[in-house]
Amino acid sequence: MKYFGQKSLSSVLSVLFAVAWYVILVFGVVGLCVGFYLIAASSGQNPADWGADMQGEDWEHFSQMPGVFKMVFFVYGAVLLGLILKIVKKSQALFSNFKNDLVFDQANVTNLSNIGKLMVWFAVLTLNIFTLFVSLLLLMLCEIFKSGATLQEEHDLTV
Amino acid sequence: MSIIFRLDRVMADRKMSLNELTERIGLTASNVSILKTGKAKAVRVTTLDAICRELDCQPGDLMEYQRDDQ
Repeated sequence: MKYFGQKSLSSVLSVLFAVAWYVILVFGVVGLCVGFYLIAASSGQNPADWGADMQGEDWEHFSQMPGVFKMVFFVYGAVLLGLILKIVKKSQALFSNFKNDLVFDQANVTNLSNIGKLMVWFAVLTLNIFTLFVSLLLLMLCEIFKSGATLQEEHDLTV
Repeated sequence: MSIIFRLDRVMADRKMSLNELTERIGLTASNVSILKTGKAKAVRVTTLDAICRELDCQPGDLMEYQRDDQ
């Protein structure tokens, strides 16, 4: 299997991440709009009345929450969406570089480092140990790429 | 960088064009350009050997050390 260059795994992943970014953006924005509407309507009618799939008891708990908590939920969702979008965008840029045969490049070091840092934030916000582990692995991989980029630069500038 | 490459000067003395040199030593024009502009981080002994052979000069004729404060 070809991993780098045109018609390789990287080019497929680059396209997949590009498509995923738009899909997540659309679903995320719709989700945020619905969330905002739920918060705004929580003092009014039950969402089950207009077909939303929420249990009556859950809705009761939610509607009894103070407005500040509801807004925190909304902001939390928006931040998570922003993090996911940024991670997907950076991943797409990374695989796009791989597709163009740019592997040990300073841009990839920056991309990997950013993905790792964003994933640390995501892991902390979602309290997910597995994501934290993966993000730490990515940050370690970033250091390897940094050394690789230095060696590549030396190789390119050796006549 | 304190090492200055005088490839241009030696080539002019020998009346050799860039194309002719690249063809003779088997280097690409971009690599010779890296050498001439002082961007090179390392020079292979084989490259130096080929340049000295084709330009009939010594390695010392090709490079010069200059102090940073000069």
